[in-house]
Amino acid sequence: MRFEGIKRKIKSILTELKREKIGIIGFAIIISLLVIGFLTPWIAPEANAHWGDPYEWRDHPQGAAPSWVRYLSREPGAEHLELEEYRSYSTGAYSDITFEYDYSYEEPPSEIVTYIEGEYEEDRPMIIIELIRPDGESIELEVETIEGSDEGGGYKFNDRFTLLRDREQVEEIYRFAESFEEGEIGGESTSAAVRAVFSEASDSILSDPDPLHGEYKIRLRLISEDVNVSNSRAIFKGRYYGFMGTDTRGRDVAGGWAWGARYGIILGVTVATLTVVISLVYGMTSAYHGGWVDELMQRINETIMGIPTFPLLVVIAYMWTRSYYVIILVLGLLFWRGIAKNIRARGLQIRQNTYVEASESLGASGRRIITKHMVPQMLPYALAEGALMVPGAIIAAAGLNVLGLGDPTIVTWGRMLSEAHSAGAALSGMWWWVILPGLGITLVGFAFISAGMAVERIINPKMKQG
Amino acid sequence: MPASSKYFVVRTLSAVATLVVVMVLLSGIFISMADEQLETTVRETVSQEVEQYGADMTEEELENFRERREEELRSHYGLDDPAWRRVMSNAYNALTLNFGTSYMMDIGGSNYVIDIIMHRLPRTILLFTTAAVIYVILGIIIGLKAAQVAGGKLDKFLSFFGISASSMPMWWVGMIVILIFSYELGWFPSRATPFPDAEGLEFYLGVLHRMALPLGTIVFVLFGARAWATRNILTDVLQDDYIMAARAKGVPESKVMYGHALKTAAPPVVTSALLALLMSVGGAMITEVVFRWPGMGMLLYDAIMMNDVPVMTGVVFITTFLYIFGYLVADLLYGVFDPRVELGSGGPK
Repeated sequence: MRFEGIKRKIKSILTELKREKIGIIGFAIIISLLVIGFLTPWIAPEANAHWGDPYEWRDHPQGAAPSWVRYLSREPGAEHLELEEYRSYSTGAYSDITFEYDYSYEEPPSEIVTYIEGEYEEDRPMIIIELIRPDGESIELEVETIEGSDEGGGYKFNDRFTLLRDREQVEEIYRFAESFEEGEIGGESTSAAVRAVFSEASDSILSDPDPLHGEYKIRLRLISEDVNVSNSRAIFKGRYYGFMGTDTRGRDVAGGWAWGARYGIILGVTVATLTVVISLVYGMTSAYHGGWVDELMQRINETIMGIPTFPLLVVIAYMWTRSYYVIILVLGLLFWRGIAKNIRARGLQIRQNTYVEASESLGASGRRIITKHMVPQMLPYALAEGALMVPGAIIAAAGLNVLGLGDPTIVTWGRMLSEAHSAGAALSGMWWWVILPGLGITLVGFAFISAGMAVERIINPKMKQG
Repeated sequence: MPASSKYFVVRTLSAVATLVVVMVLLSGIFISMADEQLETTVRETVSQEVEQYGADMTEEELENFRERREEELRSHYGLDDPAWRRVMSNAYNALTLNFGTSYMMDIGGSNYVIDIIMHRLPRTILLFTTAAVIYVILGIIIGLKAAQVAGGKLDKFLSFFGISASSMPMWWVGMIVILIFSYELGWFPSRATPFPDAEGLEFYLGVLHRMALPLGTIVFVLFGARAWATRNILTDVLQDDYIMAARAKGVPESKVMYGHALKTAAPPVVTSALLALLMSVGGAMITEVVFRWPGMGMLLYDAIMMNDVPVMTGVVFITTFLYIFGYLVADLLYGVFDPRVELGSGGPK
């Protein structure tokens, strides 16, 4: 029975809300972020735990743009491709594995990675990796002896080779290119070398290359009498990856973004809830008691209002803990102060109503008056104001990352942005890494403000006239 | 005592109370962390000394030596004093601007933290006040235009823009600004430092060139919310009876707007701008880091990166002072402008 009033109030607000377009958008954003945040452990299970782990991401392309950018580009670059299939045959003397790669782009892949797995008995095999171009020219990229680990009766190996960017390989590619065009000795550039591999063999292969389209082959030969290859694959790192691209360490921005949404919405909901609950309890207690209790509580509130958030957060994060949850808690315990003041002022007005006086004289308890008469009137207001605190809170928490004081154990939008800043993402034009995480922060703030303002406009119709 | 001077006194006392509370709070956090480090230092020093000199001591002598040294070192580091006294003395030092010397910085020929801060503070003030003047004026002009045709196109756009801009981290906008104006167009440098190596006019033009992006960023992020707030205050004022009376009398619309309405709206417009300015200090300091503008924010960042605790403490405490002082000024101003303000009803929302 006690919550009848609250229910009725919320119902009438929901009906009114249908008329508030921006408010509806705000609620829609909050709900979709809640869904994304809830599903994140299934969408991107590895991103959070392995964000700082360089091995997890080394087979992803570094600094790749979102994949949909390809359709907007006039000179599309290579797509990201993983080849699991290969042609192979082996004689007694050697095994031969060939990957076929169809190249029809304007920008070459940034790097090629090959994995080879197998076993040998005694004799350590030598591996020769060779790239064969559509025009029949070939470049020998890698010659190495494979060393496996002793598994009793045989040696097992699982090796990874990166092609095109290694220094010796770049020199080898330059030697190949310089048979067509005189290059500057000692001035080898990795990107020019990679481009030369996928360009017409002309006298401008280095200075002004034209892409050579067709079928390229990566050929791995293992020379040994008793080698047995069980598995192999090749990864052609593209210029595009995933829905949101990758950063300079190959990390999937979309995966990080999903975790950022989870932590962002956790912050939003927690800060708003704490703010609403504390300001309601504090404001109404102050208003209900009146007298010296009220006076004291107001002075305390004023003191707390003077506490600047930013320096306090910096000191806590630097001296005490960088835990994201502690920071959220501190924000929630700080942001109720202004609202409590207004709630108290409105509470005083309500107390003066005759119906409250009447129920008091009928012997209603203080608790009953608070829950029956005051909470239903105050709750929507507190909800609206609590929502307005969220943008400031999420921006403050994210800002700590830029100062090097972010939580290192989780992936937040703030952390992604601070990493983008330290890696100079803006100055190398990696807009997806700069824009998308910040857009997330803005989205959370925007959603909570517009939802809060819609509720505020409904309960305070005077503002609607504007 | 007249109401207004009572208001002044109580507000000022309340600001002083806040200052003391915050100083003690911050000092408490500092001391509790410093204590742990010092205790570890004492233990490590003693066990090192035991290893060094304890070779030919008996068991008993060793025990005595250990106890004596621990006591000496603890009193040397002041760990003997009760914690509250150390918190108080730390807070007192901060209140008297005595932050000691920096571990590793030497800026402007001094390694005293307060000197370093006084060297950097004017640059922050230069950037911040220039931006504030621009965005407050811009905000008032645009807010006025929007209030004139409430519900019009400009008004609708402004509400959307105001909400969006105040949801954006200022330093993030800074990164986008670098992306557009430094990377894509190449018009402005992305880093503000080093300052130009020139003199006279050329120096000032160089500084202005470096200041353009951070300045533009602050203005862009804050003017929308300012205009929106101005518009809301003005639409409230425009519904007052005397405005209707003036209009009915046939006073020209421009005079109603600039004469009557703006005059009434000025106090809340000014104080809310001042409060918004205070709220944006943290964001602006981080924006300095993004543009490497050599002010307080950059100093804080460098101190954190170098683990220079005295400088970091200094920046935090000075920022806190300025914030509390600014908050007091805003509140007092509001009281001056609007004598109806009562104690306890507080400043503008």
